[in-house]
Order: sequence, then structure tokens, then C-alpha cells
Amino acid sequence: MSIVIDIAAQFTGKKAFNAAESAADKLAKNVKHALIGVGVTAFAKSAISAFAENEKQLNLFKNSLQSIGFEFATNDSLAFLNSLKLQYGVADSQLIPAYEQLLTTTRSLAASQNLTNVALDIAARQGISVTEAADALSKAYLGNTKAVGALGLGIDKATLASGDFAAILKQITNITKGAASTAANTFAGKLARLKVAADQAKESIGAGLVEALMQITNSQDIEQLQTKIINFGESAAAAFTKIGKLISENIGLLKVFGAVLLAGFAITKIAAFITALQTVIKTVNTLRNSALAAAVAEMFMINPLGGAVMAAAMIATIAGVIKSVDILTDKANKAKDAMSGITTPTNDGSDRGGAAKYAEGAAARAAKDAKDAAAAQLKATKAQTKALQDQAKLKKSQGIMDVDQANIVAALQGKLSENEKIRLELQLALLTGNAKEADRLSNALLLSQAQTTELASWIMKLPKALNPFSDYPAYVLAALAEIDKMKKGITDLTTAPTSSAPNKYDEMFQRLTAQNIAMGIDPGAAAGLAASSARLSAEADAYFKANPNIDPMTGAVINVKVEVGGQQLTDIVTTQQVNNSASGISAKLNRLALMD
Amino acid sequence: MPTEVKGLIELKKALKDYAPELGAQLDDQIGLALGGVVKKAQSYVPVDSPLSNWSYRKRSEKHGNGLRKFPLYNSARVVKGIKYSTTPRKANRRGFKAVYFIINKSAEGAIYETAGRKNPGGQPWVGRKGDPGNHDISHSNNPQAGADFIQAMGELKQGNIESSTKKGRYMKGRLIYRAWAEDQGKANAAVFKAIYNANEAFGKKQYFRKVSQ
Repeated sequence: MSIVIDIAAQFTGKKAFNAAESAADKLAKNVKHALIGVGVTAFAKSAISAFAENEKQLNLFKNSLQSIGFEFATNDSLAFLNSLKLQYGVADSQLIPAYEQLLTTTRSLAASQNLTNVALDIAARQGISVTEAADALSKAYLGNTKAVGALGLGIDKATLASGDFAAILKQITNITKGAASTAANTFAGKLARLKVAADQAKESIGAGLVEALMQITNSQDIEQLQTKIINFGESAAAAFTKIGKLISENIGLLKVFGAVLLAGFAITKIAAFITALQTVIKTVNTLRNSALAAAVAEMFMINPLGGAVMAAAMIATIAGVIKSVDILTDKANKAKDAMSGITTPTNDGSDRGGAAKYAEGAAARAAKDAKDAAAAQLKATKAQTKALQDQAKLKKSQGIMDVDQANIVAALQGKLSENEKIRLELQLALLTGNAKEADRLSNALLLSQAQTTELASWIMKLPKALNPFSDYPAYVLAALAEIDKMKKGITDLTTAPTSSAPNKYDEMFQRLTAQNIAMGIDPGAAAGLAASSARLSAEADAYFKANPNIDPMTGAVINVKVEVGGQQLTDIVTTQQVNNSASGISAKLNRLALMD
Repeated sequence: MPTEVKGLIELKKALKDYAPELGAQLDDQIGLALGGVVKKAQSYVPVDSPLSNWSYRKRSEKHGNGLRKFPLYNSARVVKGIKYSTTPRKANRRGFKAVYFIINKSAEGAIYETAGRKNPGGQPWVGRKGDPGNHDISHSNNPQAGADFIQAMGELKQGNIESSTKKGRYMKGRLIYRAWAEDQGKANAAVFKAIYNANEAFGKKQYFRKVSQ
């Protein structure tokens, strides 16, 4: 390695550009051979056959979906299968029957799509076809686990014997997960993916050719057209030779055209070929006004036998494109779309020619279309998931509904509580199929029930009420006891003495009787005197009690009215104490006596 | 680093075909401008090997597997390998074809020029157990071999990076990069002035070439 300081230089372009240009020249020189050779006709026939086969398969698939009531999911299913096909390089001939079988068995789009993915993993891991794997899964779904066990995945016998499909599927998923992706990223897998993309492109090209050829040849169906192409034979060879001669005379005009065709057929870069069709169309548009186009048209007129059939082959090159350029443009675009990003060219820094650049653009657009298809698929899956969720919500709501109970409670109470109102609204929502509202109300009902139950439970759990006065201080209790004593005293004062208590008049009678006997009076007379005295005493007491204003000693009536209020009495006492204090007399208070 | 001069190759061809004396004059002026840098770079070549053993030990020309062995130091060969050129090189990977350039051609000269650019302390040492095909590690028995070698080379001078697309270590060197940096762009300016003058002179005058019929 030498060390260099470059001082002045000039950009001369990359070597590869020049090489590509010279290669294009060489390819253009060989265009005549490419056109005359069997490649074009073989490709045309192959493309048409592939299209016919694919069309037939799709129709069968649609009929199958229709028969099981899944006609609405045809487009979504095809989009799903298309993405799988390009992702894992599995042909339609395997994928469609597998998916169809799984859908027929499970009657669920989500389950069938999931199981199709599992089948792909199983097929990749065990080296079997996707159809076989799907067949085994279908049988297992229906309870026959023998086929799944025979796959040799290592599922334990207990699980197989249980027939629990969820458990079996879980084990299968654990064992085979990612096998399809891994296989698709191997060299063989990539080749398979390319082949699938090429086949799809071929089918699309075939569709375009068929439409164009049918217009030209007035063919009624594909079979008729195939027959014409197959019978083309040697009669077209001479016509091709003449066409080739014309082309060789216009080689300069067809230079680009030849390069892109050879890029497609000779180099087998299908992606480049699909995109190159656009260049072909542009070139043909140029040829439309040229003398060559007129010559080609004349050839068709001159050759009545092979004219129409010759178009079948030539339509992919010149003459057919001139007559059906618009159709082919459309179909070429569809074919390009079908590449779905699988044939993205590697950007390894090497120099690339024009065809490769076109292919790069086509791959980018195809990747975008694949992304759109994936988004549509995701949207469909989400919609389906939402429908399942709605069903689950309705089921859940129905599970907690108790209409009879609500009616009974409403009848007993004569009016609706909040809980019952929710129940009735929920019933209405269920009857009308309003899943969202039913879900909301069921949640509200559950909450209400939970709250009610919780409240009762809470009340039951409440502790026993405590004595609010238990914590009162002792002196307060003592004061209360004193109040009770006072109340008792007052009661005693206002209540008549019980008969059990000794009567003072009886005592008086007994005492006077004893005194009279002691004085020598006869006991009988002594008792009579004592009784009279006691009676008189009792009558006197009663009289004075009834007339409290009469002095018992003098019998004079005393009218004294003393009105002393609480405050006045306090003032009097205070004044007296002040006077005593001023006179040097100390006040004596007997607090202890008051406490008794 | 190179400054792109559009049409320079065509100008040289035209000068060769139509004004050979003008072409020779341009080359002389370029030689004058770049010769000074080359001489200075050659003067930085150590007469003796920076490491005694680099030129001492006898080595066969090739490994058993056909690969070339580490080159022995030869100051004369290094000096001889430092030169300028006015003949366009092959285009590089980016499509640029250098017309005027200074080159340090010899292997040992390139080693002396750039040793320590990437790993100033020597390559990571692995020893004999390292992968023989890995040239990014040191296979020596001496873990300090790389550091000692680079230290013996002397300081790695920073070249002029102002007019370069290469930055940092890629412009460091001990011979031509050092001389180029110390020239401070004088040779560079002289080259483009000479090209400009030649172009002007060629444009002002009609040149004809006699072709054989």
C-alpha cells in the first residue's frame, strides 16, 4: 500500500457505469436472438397457464368460504394468505387448502389464521407440507390427536390423551415457534420466497396477457386461448424471423427495449423485468408512430394463420403491446405490486444499471403496498376482535342479570331503588343488544351490589357501643351522686310517710297512757284520756297545717309575705358578710357540712 | 484531499495533442511546485532504521503461504519511493482520478509514515495464541513490542486537513504528510496557478494538429 497525497483530480465516473453501458450495448445486440428464441413464447404460455390455474384455485376458495358462510371474509383471507405466502415463501397451492380446512373446522377467522401460522411453523420444523400440518391440527381440534402425535413434535402422551386442544396447541407453539421465520430467512427459504413472488408476478402478467390476447383473438375462454397458443408451432417461426429482421434494422431504437427484456428473461431478475415493462411500454409508445409499428401491423395482416396467435407471444414484446398497451400497463403495475417487497434489491454499494434502479423503485412501491395490505389485515383483525369482545361483554352482562329478583323487589317496595333501576336498564340494554351500554350498566350493577354488600358487612362488623361517660372524672361522678341524694331528699319531703314508720300520735297515745297509769288511774280510763289527747293533738296539727298564717301559740293570724330572689339573697348574704368583716367578725363556713 | 478540476484530463490531452510545449511547461511548473515538498519529505527519512532489528534480521521474501513478510527497512528505497507524479492514476472507488499527486510508494516508507495512526500505543497484544490471519492484533511475544516500535518512529505529525475530506488521524504522517503540512499550501497553490495559466494560454491561442489521412 502506498501513501498518496492527491492534489488535483477529476471525477471520471465509476467504472461500473461504463461497464454497465457496454453490457447494455452487448445485450441490445443480442435482442434479436432473445426475441426469436423460445423464451418469450414459453414465458407467455407459462404465465397464462399460471394465471388460469390461480384463477381456478381462487374461485374454488371463494366457493368454499361461501358454503360455510364466510363469504364476507374472502378479501381479508386472501390478503392474509398473500402476506403469509410472500413472507414464508409457501405457494398458494399449499396455503389456500390448509387455511380453507382450518376455517372449515374452526369456523373462526381468528382461530384459523392463528392455526395457519402454527401449521407453517410445524411444516418448517418437521419438513412436511403446510397442508399436512393443517390437517393434523384440524383433526386435533376435533378431538382426534393421533395425527398430531404422529408429527413427532414431542408432545407428551398425557396431553395428547387428554384431548385438550388448548394444551396441545400450547405445547406445539412452544416447540415450533419461530421455525417458519427461521426457515424463510435461510438461503433456500429466500429462494422459495423469490419463487413465490415470481410466480405471483407471472400470474399477474398472465392475467394481462390473457385479457389482451382475448381481445385480439376473440377467444371466449382461457382454454381456447391456450389451444391457440400451443398450436402456434412452426407457423409463427417464420413470422418471428421476419419480425426479428425488422427489429435488427431498428436496433438503435430498440436498444433500451432489448436491455430491459434481457434483464428480465436472460438474467432472470424478475423484479427488474416487471419494472422494465414500463420501459417497454414507453419504448413501444415511441414505436407506435414509427415505420416499424406499421411493418409489424402489416405482418399480422399478411399472416392470417398465425397472426392472432403470434400476438400471444409478441404481445409481451412489441406488437401486442402496441395494441394493448393500456391493458398491459395496468397489469404490469399489478404485477409490480404483487412483488410485495420480497425482491428488494440489495444495496451493497456495487454499481447498478438502469434496470436495477427501476427494480429498486418498484421494490419500494411494492413494500409500501405490502404495508398497506398488512394494515388492512390488522384493521380487519381488530374489528373481529372487537366483535368477540362485544359478545363476551354481553355474555358477562347476561350472567349477572336477575330480572325476577328485580321485579320482586320492585313489587315489594312499591318503588324502584337505584340498584333495581340499573337492573331494569341493563335488561333493556340486553334486549336491544347494546353491548356498550350493557357493559356499563353491568359494571354499575356490580358496583352497586358490591357497595350494598359491603355496607351490610361493614355494619355487622361495627364494634359494641361504649359508655360515653366511662371516661368522666371521679369528681363529676361524685357530683352526680350528690345530685341524686338531693333529689331523694326532695322526694322524701314531698312524699307522705309510709305506714310502716311509727306515728307520733300513737307514740303520744302510748306515752300518755303509761303516764296516766303511773299516776294511779285505771288503765281503761288512762287509755281513754290518752286517746282523747292524741286525737286533739292530731286535729290541732291538721288545723294549723291547713292554716299556716295562724300562730299555733296565740291563735293570731300572721300575714307575712317574704319574697327573696336568688340574687337578692346573695346580695343580702354578701352585705352581711361585708358588715361582719368590717366589724371584725370572721365568717364561719361549714363546707364539710355542706358536702354531706 | 484532492481538489476536483473539471476538464483537467481533457486539458492535458489537448495540451499533449495540440500544444506539447505548453504541456511540458505545465509539467515543469508542477514539478517545481511539488519537487520542494518531495525533497523535504525525503530529508525526513532516517538513514538508519529507527529500530535496529528492523533492517538487521534476514528474512525470506515470502511466508510459506505466499504472503509477503514484514518488509525490512531500507532508507534508500524509502527515499526513492517518495516522488510526485503528473501522470493520471486509476480512478479510485469514488470515481476520482488523481492527476497530480505525491506518493510514498515503498512499503517500509508507508509503515514509517503511518505507524501509530490508529493505535498510538501499538496494536492490542494477544501474542502467539492470536489468530494468524488477524492483522489488527499484536502477535509478538513482547506485549510492549508495538508501543516500542511506534515510540522509536518518532512523533507523528499532523498534516494539513483544511483542504481535505479526510480528518484527524488519516492526515497524520512522518514524511510526505509532514512535509506537505509544513509547506502550508504553497505547493498546492502553485499547482493550481500553473493549471490555470496553462488553460488560459491554451484558450487564447488556436492550436492545430496534423493528422494522418
